[in-house]
Amino acid sequence: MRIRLSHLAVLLALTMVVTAVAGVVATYREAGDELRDVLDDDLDSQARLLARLLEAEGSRLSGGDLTGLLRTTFRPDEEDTLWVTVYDTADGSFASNLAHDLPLEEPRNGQLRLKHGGHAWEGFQRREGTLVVQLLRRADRYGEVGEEILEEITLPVLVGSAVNLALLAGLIGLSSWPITRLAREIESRNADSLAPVALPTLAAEIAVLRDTLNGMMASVDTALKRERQFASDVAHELRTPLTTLKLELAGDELDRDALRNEVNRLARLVEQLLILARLEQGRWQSAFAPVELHTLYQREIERFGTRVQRAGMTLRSELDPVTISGEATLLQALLQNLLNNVLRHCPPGTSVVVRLRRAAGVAVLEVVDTGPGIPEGQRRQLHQGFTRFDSRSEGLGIGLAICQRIAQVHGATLEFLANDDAPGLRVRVTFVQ
Amino acid sequence: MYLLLVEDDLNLGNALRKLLRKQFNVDWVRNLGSARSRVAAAQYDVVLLDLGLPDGDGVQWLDALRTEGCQTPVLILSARDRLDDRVKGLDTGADDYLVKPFEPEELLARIRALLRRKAGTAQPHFVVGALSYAPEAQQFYLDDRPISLSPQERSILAVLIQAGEKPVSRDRLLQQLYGLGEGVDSNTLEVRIHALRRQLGRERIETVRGIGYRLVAL
Repeated sequence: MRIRLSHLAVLLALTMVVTAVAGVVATYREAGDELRDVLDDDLDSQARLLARLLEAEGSRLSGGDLTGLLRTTFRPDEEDTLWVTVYDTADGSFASNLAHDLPLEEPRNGQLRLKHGGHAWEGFQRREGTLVVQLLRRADRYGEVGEEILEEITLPVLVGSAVNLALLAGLIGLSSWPITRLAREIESRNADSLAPVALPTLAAEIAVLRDTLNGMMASVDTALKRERQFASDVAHELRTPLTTLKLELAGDELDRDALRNEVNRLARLVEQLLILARLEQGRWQSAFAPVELHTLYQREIERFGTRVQRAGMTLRSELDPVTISGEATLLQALLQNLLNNVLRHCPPGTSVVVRLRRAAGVAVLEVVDTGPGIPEGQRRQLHQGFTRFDSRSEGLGIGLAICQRIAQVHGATLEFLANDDAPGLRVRVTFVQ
Repeated sequence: MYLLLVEDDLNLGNALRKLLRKQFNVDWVRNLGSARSRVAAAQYDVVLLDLGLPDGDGVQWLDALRTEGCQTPVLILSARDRLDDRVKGLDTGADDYLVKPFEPEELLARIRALLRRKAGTAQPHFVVGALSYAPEAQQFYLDDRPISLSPQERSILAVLIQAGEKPVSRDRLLQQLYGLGEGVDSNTLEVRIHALRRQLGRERIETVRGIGYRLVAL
């Protein structure tokens, strides 16, 4: 089952409101009832106290004095309005703080309800000896007190609820909304547009999610670009000889040498692609065995001798004995490709040195030429795997891609450096032993 | 017609030149530097441009060319077949874009189309008076009867008829015959014009004093 955060939030908001309202109502009712009880008890005990006091001391008070006393003691005010009447059943006289001439109905003890002056009154009647004391409170005063209580408890609950709702809305705004927007933004991305997602957010968790996604998309983008570049290089390398073949075949007389050249070129290219495809499949490490690099490379350099001579170049080698764990055919292809690049791109007169040295924990293979070299910017592109930098390449891009993969498989690094203080290129492969 | 081929691949360049030489006078250069100086020196009818060149990108050069106001039709020949490459090439000012590998017939047809457009006509055949020219067959007709011409006469007459009745400079016609900087014998042009006049009638090719020649609609 799927739960929508926004639905959950609405539910939470509703329960918050309901709880607040129920709290207010319950508090109001409970407080009202309790207050009423307290006030009633108070009124009753006051009536009883007054009756006792007057009964004990009453003989000293004349009717007029008593009225005066009651008026000053039970003065009506805004907070409370009490009505007290003292009847003397002995002589039928009575005194009250309010002017009235209501006779005593019956001299019993207990609760009392009366109407006077347009108001309902509620209170108690207490009898002591011949005296009957009625003490009543205006019924509407209870309501007023209740309203005041209601006001006092409602305000903080309202404020609290409003703050809670605002916080909840903020929480939803910071989590659910950006996540929805993030999802929409990602939906609009595809292999052709992996631009970073712009999602301004205050929530640290969302920002982390966004940055992680952007980082991932950036690396996927780089990988895709590299793949595309490589595919486009391969397409170029294949299409150019194919075009030549088409043109030659459409001609009147066949130029067999040209045809053979182009077919050989395509064959070499396919061979390189096959090596690369096999490299991509991986699992080479399981076939690794100790390889004497100096012996392997010495043989390879001797094989290149004639071609180098024919190109008018010189090839020298300085090989220290180095043994590494690797795959001999791949390591051979590595040097072949590097030397082929030199032969293809350097003019006659170029001298090439192949150097193999052992240093602290590493073995270093260097192929240094005195050819035209590669500008800094293009060298950087080579490092990034954007392989092609020229179209005379005849598989140059693929050759270098293969070198890079071979190095990678052997845990080695491939670097393109400038020649120390001469023009030319220094390709360095560093094997960690 | 005078074509400039910018293609760095040796084998492909050779094959293309072989194909084009049958119908056009072709200069072939293998880098942008040479292309630049060639375009500055000669009046080409069409430039065939490869994109990935050793000293730069063809599209950038094309952009510079159009900025300078060069109107020569440019046909891009490239292995880059991605949509954005094609769109970018055309939007930069290329008149056509052909993806390698292409069929030779298609390349020739596209060059003919560019030449038509350059001459300001949509008609596949060029007509001036009773003289007409079918470029795809490289055949001239006078009063609808095919006429036979030598290759050099044909290339001169092709330039003249594609200019309509406008005059064509002697330089242009000489370039058509010899290309740039080769041993030019200006007498040859007169000899060819003379031969053409003999076949087509004297008045059909008029000498424009100080400029060159033009066809007259008869």
